[in-house]
Amino acid sequence: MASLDSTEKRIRLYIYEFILRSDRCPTLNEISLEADLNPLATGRVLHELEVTHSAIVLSPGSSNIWLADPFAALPTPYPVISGSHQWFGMCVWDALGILVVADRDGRAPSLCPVSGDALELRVESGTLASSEGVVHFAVPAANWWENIGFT
Amino acid sequence: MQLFRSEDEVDGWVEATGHDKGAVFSPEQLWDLASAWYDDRLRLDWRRRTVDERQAILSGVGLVGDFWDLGGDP
Repeated sequence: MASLDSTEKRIRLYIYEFILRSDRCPTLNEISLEADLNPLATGRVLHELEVTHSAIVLSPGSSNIWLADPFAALPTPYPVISGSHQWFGMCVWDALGILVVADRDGRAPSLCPVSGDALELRVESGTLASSEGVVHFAVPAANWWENIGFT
Repeated sequence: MQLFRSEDEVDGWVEATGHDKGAVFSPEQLWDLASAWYDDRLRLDWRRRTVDERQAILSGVGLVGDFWDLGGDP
């Protein structure tokens, strides 16, 4: 597996730090300014991060970030709330992963997809303090990246 | 990966959607998985873990068996 070059590493980390600070993904222009690259060159870096499975997934046919695993770029049924911050995960695993990446306490409310019951996982002092429900993984591990949106 | 009220709701989802039933486990196990899987995202020298390293994380939180075999996962 090829390792990332220094520009790719810097941009990858910038994306995560931006999300943690701003509760949203940076735009192509914001990344370009930070990296001192033109948007075309920045887009190439983002596509390289995507094809090397470096946790960045782009919206189809664009250089816009759709997923900086575990952070989703758009609102989803799996919000994560921590203090004044709100992020979104693609799934319940991502929701807890966000609190791990942020190294913060918080809560991940969601609705049972069948009953509609409100469920909440809560992290306090770095541990899972309150949990409800059961987790269902529908996709076998070997197939997770075939359709990461469904996974 | 979704959170359901109970395994009965998982079965209801499988019946309603036609998807296969996968693996069902506890939020506590998911927290252990998330803690091990996502602890490296803010490292400048981050690299994607190898299949063996990812498989070890799954095994370490008790997720073993064919369903959890990463196999050809890129």
